[in-house]
Amino acid sequence: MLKIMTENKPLETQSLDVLAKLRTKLGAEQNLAQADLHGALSSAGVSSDVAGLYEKLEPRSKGGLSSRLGLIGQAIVVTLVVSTGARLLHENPASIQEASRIVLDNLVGWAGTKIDNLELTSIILGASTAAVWTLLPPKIYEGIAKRESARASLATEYKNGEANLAGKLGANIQIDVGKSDPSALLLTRLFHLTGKEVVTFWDDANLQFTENSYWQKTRNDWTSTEILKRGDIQESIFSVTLVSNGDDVFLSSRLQDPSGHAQDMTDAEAIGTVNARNSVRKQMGLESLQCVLVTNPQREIEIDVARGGEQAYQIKTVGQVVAEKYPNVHLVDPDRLVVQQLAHIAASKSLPLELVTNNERRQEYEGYLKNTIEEHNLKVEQGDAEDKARIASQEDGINTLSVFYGSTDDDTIAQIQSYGDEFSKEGEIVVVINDPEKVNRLPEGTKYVCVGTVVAEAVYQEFSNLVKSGKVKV
Amino acid sequence: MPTEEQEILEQIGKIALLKIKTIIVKALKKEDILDFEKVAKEKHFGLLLAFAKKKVPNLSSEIQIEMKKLGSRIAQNYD
Repeated sequence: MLKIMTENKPLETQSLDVLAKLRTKLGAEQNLAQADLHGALSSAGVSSDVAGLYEKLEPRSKGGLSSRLGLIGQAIVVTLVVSTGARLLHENPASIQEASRIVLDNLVGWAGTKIDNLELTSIILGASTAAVWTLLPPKIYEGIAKRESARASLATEYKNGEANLAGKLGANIQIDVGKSDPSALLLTRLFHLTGKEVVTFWDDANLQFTENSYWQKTRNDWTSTEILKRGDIQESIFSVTLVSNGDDVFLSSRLQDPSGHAQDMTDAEAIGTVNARNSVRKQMGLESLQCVLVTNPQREIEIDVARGGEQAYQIKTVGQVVAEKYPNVHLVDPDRLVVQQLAHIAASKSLPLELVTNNERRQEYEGYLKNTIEEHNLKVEQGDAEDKARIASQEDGINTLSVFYGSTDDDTIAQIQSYGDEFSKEGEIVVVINDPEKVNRLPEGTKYVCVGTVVAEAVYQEFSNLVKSGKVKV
Repeated sequence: MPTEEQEILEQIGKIALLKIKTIIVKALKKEDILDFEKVAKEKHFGLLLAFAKKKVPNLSSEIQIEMKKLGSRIAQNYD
């Protein structure tokens, strides 16, 4: 009957039984060995203070090993596990037993020679351990192999962004990243600091895996029910979608790029993820998630109609669509946030703005900046923003606020390092940099606005407001 | 994070260390005690082994025997 019950147990549980039994037996052996040593010291007439020291004597740490293992474990792991351990599970135990005998014969004989003492001690302990190891019954190797293989496959699942996190994380925040985004890491840290777990959704690889192991690989399928479920959507309390424009988070195009060359995630895809999350949660009997969409609200959602006549169909912007159809979606506009900061700096010195950028992007960025400043000034008139701004004209000469914003952060850094001196004789300089991690590459003392930081703070502020209003329950 | 294999190896290693220390003490003669106490106060396992090599010529065989006994006792648990 007992045998039948054991056979019916899952493999994992059977392995656990075998290993638990081994650990108990080893614990008892350790106690016996401790008592035996204590008795031997007493019989030999060793003084009690020396006996106490001797009982505690262990191999010294070589340092540098960061592990939860104790010194003995480290000593063994250094030699036995790294060089020999993997073979123990797969090779003929008899050959290992013979090898451990030879090692012991030789190395005990080397004690006190020039060989590094920790290495020697660890090899001796390792060989002694191997001698015991080879006598263990196959059942134990199998138990360990099964457990280790389960752990290894789980670790691989996490590393590959395929771990099933459903129902395992508790209240969590979901962040759609794409290939990369300058605010993703800071946002993750902000939520972690306040005790919230974060699940990120990436195209292919999680660039911040060490900070955030809970992630899902989407391969650009942001709406997959299976991926959302694996990402623990059931326990999620809030989501953030970073509509990615590669390096153009500030001054991004107002036109969609379905080819994906400029945009990692289009607004259509972002709206698709909102729909998908709403739909999956509805199937589970859960209410829609509150979501922040970081995007350019002025970007157009493309449409055309094939029919007679030449009248173009009225195109809507992302901002209009969200306002009309998605009460659970809240927009964060990087252009508006960054221009507000630039307007503050310019107003404090009464300076007009000029943009310093790459030649091939000048016209495009200039147009976007002009539009954004016009919209900002309109908001100032309506009381929704502060400090009007204007773009410098020829008459302003060099008395301007020079805004360095290159095509990429690397371009921006190169430009400020190469030409910064020429722009700082009169007026003021400010650098707009996307990635918070690159701020420390700017020349010391450079005034800057970091898009990633500004966006992350705005998202967190929105989250905080939603918590206060009771729309997000933490 | 240590694996199950590493944790079990560490546990066996601790027993091995206790056994080696016991073998050394059991091999001591009365006249060795003073020298032994000096070495023990150094708290250096390598020096202890160097000392033990002189006092216990067959130390490696003794360790082997003790380890085999331990391995056999564990194996009996699974018969």
